[in-house]
This record gives sequence, C-alpha cells and structure tokens, in this order.
Amino acid sequence: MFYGEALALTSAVLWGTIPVLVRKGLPHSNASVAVVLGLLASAPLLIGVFWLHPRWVTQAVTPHAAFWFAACGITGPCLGRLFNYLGVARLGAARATPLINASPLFTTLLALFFLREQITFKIGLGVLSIVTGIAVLTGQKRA
Amino acid sequence: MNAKDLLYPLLAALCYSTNPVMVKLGLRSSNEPLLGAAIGMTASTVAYLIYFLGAGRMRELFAIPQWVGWYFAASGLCSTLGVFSFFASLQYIPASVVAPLTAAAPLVTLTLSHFWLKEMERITFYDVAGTTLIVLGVVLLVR
Repeated sequence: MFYGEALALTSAVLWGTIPVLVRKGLPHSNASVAVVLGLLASAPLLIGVFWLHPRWVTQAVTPHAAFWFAACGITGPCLGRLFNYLGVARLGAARATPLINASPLFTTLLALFFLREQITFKIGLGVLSIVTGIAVLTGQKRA
Repeated sequence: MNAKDLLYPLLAALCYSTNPVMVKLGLRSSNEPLLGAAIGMTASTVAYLIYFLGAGRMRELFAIPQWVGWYFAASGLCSTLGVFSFFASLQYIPASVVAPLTAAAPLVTLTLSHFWLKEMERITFYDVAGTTLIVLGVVLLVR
C-alpha cells in the first residue's frame, strides 16, 4: 500500500546511516580508504544488476547515455563521496551531513543562472531556509 | 566552525548537485535507471581504484583494524542499497514525493549521532535547528 513511501524512507535511513558508520572508523583510517572499501563492497551488487538484467548492457544503453551515467558516477560516488567523508572527518557526521545534503541549493542556483528559471515564492523560501540553516550550523563554536 | 570547515561539505554538495542533470541527460537517451546507476557505480569504482593503486596506497587497506574495514564496507552497501531502493520507490510514487522523503537523511544522521557517536560528537540545539532548516529548505526546493 505504501511501498513507495516505505522504499523512499528506507533510502533516507540507509543514506543517513553512512556518515555515522564512516565517522566511527575514520579515527583509525582515512577518507580515501573508506571510499575504496565502500566501492569494493558494492561490487557484488553491481555484478548482480548486470547479470540479472534481462538485456545486455550494450543493447539496453547507448554509448551517449553510458557516458553521462559514468560521468555521474565520477562526480557522485567517487569525488562527491571523497569530499563527503573528508567533511565528516573534519566537522563530524551530524554537522557535515546537512551541509552536504544542501546540494539542491546549488542545483537551483545553477538553474536560475544558466537556465534563467523563474524564482517562485516556494523556491525563495527554500533557499532562505537552507542559507539560514547553514548559518545556524556554522555560526556555533565547535563542540 | 570557520570557512575552511565548510570547504569539503560544500565541494561534496557541488559534486552531488550536478548528478540530477547528468542522470537526466543519460535517461533521455536510454531509459534504464537501474543499469544507469550500476554503470555510474562501476565507473566510480574503476576510476577510484586506478587512482588509489596508482598513488601506491594499497598498503593502507591492510593497515586498518578489521572492524573498521567492515564499517566502511557497510557504508558502501548502505549507499548502493539506498540507490536501489530509491529507484524502486520511483516505480510506485512520483519523484516529487520521493525526493522530500529522502531529504530526511540528515535527520537520521543527527538521531544516530546522538545515540551512537556520544563519545565523539555532542549534538547541540544549533545542530538540530540548522539541520531542520536545511531539510525543510531542501523539501521546498525538490517538491
């Protein structure tokens, strides 16, 4: 009945757990090792996806699409994750994570400047809320 | 917290902010979200392994306590399973409902940090207020 909502919340719980797991281990290692081990651990799942998909990847995905998916992998799970873990190491899980998750702010600003999208009241309020949240988080002294 | 502390989280946010555009460009050409995610993850694994091995850092993998390795591996699995459940949720409900639900991830981190990282991080009122404002702002932007 609420499969969609439950699955979306499962994603939130899984993604929200990552910084805590990484933070636990970082004092004994570094962000780069955390990225490598995380990526290697996911390899069997990826092989499963390619194996179980009804069509060969070369038949289902054009080279053009594969380029953009791969580029997304380089900026997201590769560079994004490295900076993410470096941020967690420096600020802690609870403070770095909301800042990292403010990425829709950048997407919106990019769309406003490059795609000339209109600023609606809702967008303005969202941007204001995020900027205020960042100010509140960063304004405090480090505990 | 100072401006330098913000660098890594905001770089991570910037990297992640380009992902929706790249995914859209890929899906326009081949509507295979799960395969797309797998291609992206595979590309990131290969790219990061090349960097890691090229930089001669292989020894670091074996220098960490075993339990730390399991934590890092679990973080990678959480990330990949989160992506899969995210795509699965999109089959039941629209993206405009999925995105605000997954935006709650920092609240999960905050809660887990309070209980699980007690000895490493002290959660303040400002952390709760700042995180809540950012999550609300993101919900307004993505909905």
